[in-house]
Amino acid sequence: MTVTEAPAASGTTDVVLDAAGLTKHFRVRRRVSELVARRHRHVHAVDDVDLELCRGRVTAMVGESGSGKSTVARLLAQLQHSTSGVIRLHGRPVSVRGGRRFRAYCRKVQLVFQDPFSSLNPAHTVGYHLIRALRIHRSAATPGDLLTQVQLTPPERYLDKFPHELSGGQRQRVAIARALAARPEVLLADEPVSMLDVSIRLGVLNLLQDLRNRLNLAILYITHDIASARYFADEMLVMYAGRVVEGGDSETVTQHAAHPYTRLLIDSAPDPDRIAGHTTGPAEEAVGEPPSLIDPPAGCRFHPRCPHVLAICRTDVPPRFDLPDQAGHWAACWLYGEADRS
Amino acid sequence: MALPTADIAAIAPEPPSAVVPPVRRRRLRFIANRKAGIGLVILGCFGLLAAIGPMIAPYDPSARGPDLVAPPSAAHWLGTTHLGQDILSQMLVGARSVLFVGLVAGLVATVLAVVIGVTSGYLPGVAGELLSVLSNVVLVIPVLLLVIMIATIIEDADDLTIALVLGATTWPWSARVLRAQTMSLRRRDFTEAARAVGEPTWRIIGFELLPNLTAVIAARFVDTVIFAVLSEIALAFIGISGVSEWNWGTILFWAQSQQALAQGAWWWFVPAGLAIALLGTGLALLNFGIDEFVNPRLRNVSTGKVGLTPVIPEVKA
Amino acid sequence: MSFVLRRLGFYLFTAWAAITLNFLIPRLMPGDPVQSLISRAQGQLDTDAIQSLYILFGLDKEQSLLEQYTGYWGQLLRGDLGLSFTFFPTPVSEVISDSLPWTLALVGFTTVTAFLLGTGLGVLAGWRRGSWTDALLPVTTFLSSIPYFWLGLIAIALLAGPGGPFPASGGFDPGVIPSWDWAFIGSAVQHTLLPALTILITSMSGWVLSMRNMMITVNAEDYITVAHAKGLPERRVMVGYAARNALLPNVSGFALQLGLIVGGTLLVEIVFSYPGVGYQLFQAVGAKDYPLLQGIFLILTLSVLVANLFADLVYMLLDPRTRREG
Repeated sequence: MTVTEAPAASGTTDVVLDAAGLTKHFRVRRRVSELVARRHRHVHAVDDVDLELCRGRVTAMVGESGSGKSTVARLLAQLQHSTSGVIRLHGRPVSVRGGRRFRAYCRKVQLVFQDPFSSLNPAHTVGYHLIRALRIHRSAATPGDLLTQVQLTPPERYLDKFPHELSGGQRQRVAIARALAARPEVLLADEPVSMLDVSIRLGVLNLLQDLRNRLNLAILYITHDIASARYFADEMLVMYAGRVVEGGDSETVTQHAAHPYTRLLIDSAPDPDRIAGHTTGPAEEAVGEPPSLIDPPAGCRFHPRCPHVLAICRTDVPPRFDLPDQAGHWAACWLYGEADRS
Repeated sequence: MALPTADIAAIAPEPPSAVVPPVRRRRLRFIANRKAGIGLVILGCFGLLAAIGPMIAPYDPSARGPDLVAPPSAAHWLGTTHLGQDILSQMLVGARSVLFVGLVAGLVATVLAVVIGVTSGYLPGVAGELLSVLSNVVLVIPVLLLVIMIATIIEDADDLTIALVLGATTWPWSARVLRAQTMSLRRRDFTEAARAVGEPTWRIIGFELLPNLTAVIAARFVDTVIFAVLSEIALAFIGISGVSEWNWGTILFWAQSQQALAQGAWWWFVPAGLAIALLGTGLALLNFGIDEFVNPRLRNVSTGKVGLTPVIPEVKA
Repeated sequence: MSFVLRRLGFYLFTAWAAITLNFLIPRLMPGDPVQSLISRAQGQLDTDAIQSLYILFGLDKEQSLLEQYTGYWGQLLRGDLGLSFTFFPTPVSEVISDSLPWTLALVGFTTVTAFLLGTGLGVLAGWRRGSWTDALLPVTTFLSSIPYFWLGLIAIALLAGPGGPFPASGGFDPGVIPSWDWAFIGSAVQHTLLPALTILITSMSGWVLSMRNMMITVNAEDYITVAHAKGLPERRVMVGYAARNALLPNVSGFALQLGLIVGGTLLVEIVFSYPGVGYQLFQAVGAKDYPLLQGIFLILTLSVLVANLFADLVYMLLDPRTRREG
């Protein structure tokens, strides 16, 4: 297992944030012909996503660009509003538009953005960013405390700096520090290391792990890199074209991938063993690109690319089927339909 | 998979407190830019003249004298008009009026442009579009004609009225520019991050967006001042009554109507034109300085790398 | 296609706004100068003329604003812009139609030439960066800060008048009768040259500057490097690739500047006593000839709108992306 230390001493994995049936459709600007026919087209960015975030656990959401992962993060942070579905904080449904209720919500749920170069305002110093966050959430901590928490020491050196004077890794740490100012229970990290140099990524991931342990945070780690997800996360969800296609314990999902798309993802990761010729099994072959989300394919969205497509895949959306190898491992694939029924 | 499960931090530790070479904050770098420096010097001189002009003018500009249409001499450095009035005094007193109208009009127009442009850029949907249509409509109508008509109809318009009318008709161009910039800034992550932290909307517009727009606003302000000065001179030249007694355009008006050219009285109309051109050049240089200051350092922010067809056509007229 | 429709709709809306503005402004006038002028000329005006002036200026207090508005529109659509005070009793429309061709000739010729020449120079200046062309910048900046009309005054002083090569004023020699023969046209052209030249010099510098800036920006784009790498002759890259793309913002900027160009030309006409609309405007202001003033505003604004629409069409032809979007 990836975690060297056990999760928080409290031992309980109480659910902090969960979502059920989360759906988001974006309206597309209508062409004249559609105006007349009164039809609306939508981008089906997210469809029917369920997830749970528990204290002291890292849940990874893996998928390629355009799979809807960032939209899920924005929905969970209430920066956008879902078309349908419900989001619950500590069991109570939430839907906030702005103002005080939004501030109360974001005190619990914070978002860290992907691009450290643009998520900090270039016109303000590091100190300003942190002081504002602290003041909004009425925290007694000082900016120096926050910087120490993200291992930017000595803090005085960084408080007066502008974002363009810091390196990418340092900026991302400042972004994380700003998120921590609210003392959140949930940290939504939208591809936090994708835009950093590879050599720096590990440092930031370790920081997140450290925060998870010390502050008992629930972390949603969104990424397209399945390898880092396996390293860092306890639980993994795989997204494709707006739907979640597989889920479970991260080690199990990566070692015993069930859904054909997951297998494709794993096999796409460069593997020195395979290149050198020591393949362990036949590589999955699938061609094509992700579908357009305005007119997604009927049934299972992966069926145009799937090497094991069945007739039913073209018509019906597969539900979750629990897999026998490990508790909590499931795949939304008709291939496992029979196995579950038996 | 090839990734070992052991904690790699021990092998490749990232030093978080890596030393960043201290950047010398050259806040005065703007002044050090030569073009801006020259522009500021020119403006400073005119500002000084405007402030103390009436006090150091040797004669009352309206006072008639014995020497009619006399060339420059020791008594009258810039010669006299057809009524014996000292042209130098007229120029000095006129400077105040010119700068006053220019600055007030620039201020009014810029405030309007900021309010309308930034709001229309930030508000999504119909509200933003409507404001944009409003700016475009006012933009297309020829300003000078409108101002002439209004100024003629409002008899005895004084400097302040002219300045207000000019300000109320020249804001659309700046509003367009600001709207485009605001729209592109709004999409940047830091705006969403400010929302995610919980900043209220007014603070986002005022403290997150506006600081990034200051350079554009400054450049637009200078441009508007240039235009207002030229327009005011033109209005006086046409003879819109009521523009304060003496400004450089009035001097030219009298020069034209008294056939200064036919009389060969070059000293009557040359100084005024040169002064206008010099003021305009000073302001334009200031604008160049602002541009060059903005581009290299804040390249990713306010102007960005101008793409193929920039949203704001940078027409420097 | 929808691009054209959208622009057309926009201009129609703006035209409506301009006309309504024209309607509203005189009604905001304090005092009643028009009334006094009418009563002074009472004997010479027939009832139709009085009626049209009433409608134009809303002097009939009996009518509601809406009735006045509809009456105003009706009058406009019949082509009746009222009677001019200064050229009494000539109708305004006649005064304008006499002078409009002169202005159009001057504006049309100079604007297009300034744009073409300025853009061409700008292309060269931007292409060969760091050479002598960079020294042009302060010069062009200074030149573009000079008011059009002042340059005209200087030009007249230096180049015109008795003994000079150019005539000092007017649209044509006093002895020549306007007609379509060579004597007239030759004389007209000779009188147009000096005003045209002054406008050309000051407005060209603006285009040079902006074109140069765009060329420098476009030069940094990768596709220019590819074009060079392909081995295309430099001239071809400069014109076919760089200039073609750098031109676009200038064209849209040109359309937006039309209003300013019109303003500047009016002033030049005043300086040269050139018998165009600007000169009429000058006289109208001096004589407080409100009907003429209003009429000129209306006609010029509508012309600018038409020119803008035309420029938009040109832009659409040049930029294939607008075509596809539409």
